[in-house]
Amino acid sequence: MTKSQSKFATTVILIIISGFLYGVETFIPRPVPFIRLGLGNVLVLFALINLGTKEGFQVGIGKSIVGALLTGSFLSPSLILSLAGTISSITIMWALYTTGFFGIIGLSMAGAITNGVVQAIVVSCLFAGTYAFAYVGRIMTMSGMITGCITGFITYGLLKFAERRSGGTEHK
Amino acid sequence: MFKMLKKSGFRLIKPADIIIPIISLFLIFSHHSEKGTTIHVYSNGKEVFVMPLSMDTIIEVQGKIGKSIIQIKEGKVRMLHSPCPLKLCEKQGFISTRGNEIICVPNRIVIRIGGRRDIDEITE
Repeated sequence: MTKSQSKFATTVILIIISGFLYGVETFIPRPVPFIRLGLGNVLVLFALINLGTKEGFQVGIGKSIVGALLTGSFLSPSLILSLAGTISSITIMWALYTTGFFGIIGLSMAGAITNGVVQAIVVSCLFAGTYAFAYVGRIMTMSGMITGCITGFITYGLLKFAERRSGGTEHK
Repeated sequence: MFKMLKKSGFRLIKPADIIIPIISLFLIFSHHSEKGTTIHVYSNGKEVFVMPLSMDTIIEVQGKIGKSIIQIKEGKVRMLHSPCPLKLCEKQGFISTRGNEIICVPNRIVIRIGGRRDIDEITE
């Protein structure tokens, strides 16, 4: 298998796993409806760092679409929400990663916070008023800091694992 | 161990990471202290007064059990006098930030502070 073929295969596998994780997460009972752990974000950040920018975006957008198909919310408002959150969070993570100043925890946190805040903005534009944004946005920022920390640790573990298996430079 | 981490180009935590929680905490708390520009007074669920906060004045509002007196002073607003038994609305004192409310349950009076980005004013 050539380098680009193996990269493509890895991307497809990551899309399927992250979409599946997204689907499973919606069935786990949560204290507040919009707070979720965001395990799909682990694989998005992994693809962004280990495979490249293009693959990161592919995994993120693929995750939203596969997840929506699994949960039966394809072409519904929740797909718009999830796509808006995912695309903006990848853009922020990519921008911060290219500066080289940020560690995995910082990237993951920034991604989780962006995801939550953008979803809160979209919700308040589409359905609720600006007062809703003030409260939902704050809750999302707080939860994003905590969940971003947790997923950051998982991403780091995954990146170290991939590095040990492949020698770290297979794709680059 | 540290050499290996450096070579790989990614690290668990870098010093700049502290910026992200600082910025987000700043955003959470800074939004709180935004000054309002108008007050909205509701009696029994109906809006009876809209006043700019810059005008020092005293308003009388007829509530369910009597007359409430609301004072606006130096960009802040308080319940000066209320006929309710516990006087919780009077004890709340002055409020001035956008989205804050004084609610007097027995007399059915709500004082809410709105601002420039208030959705009510956009639609009006």
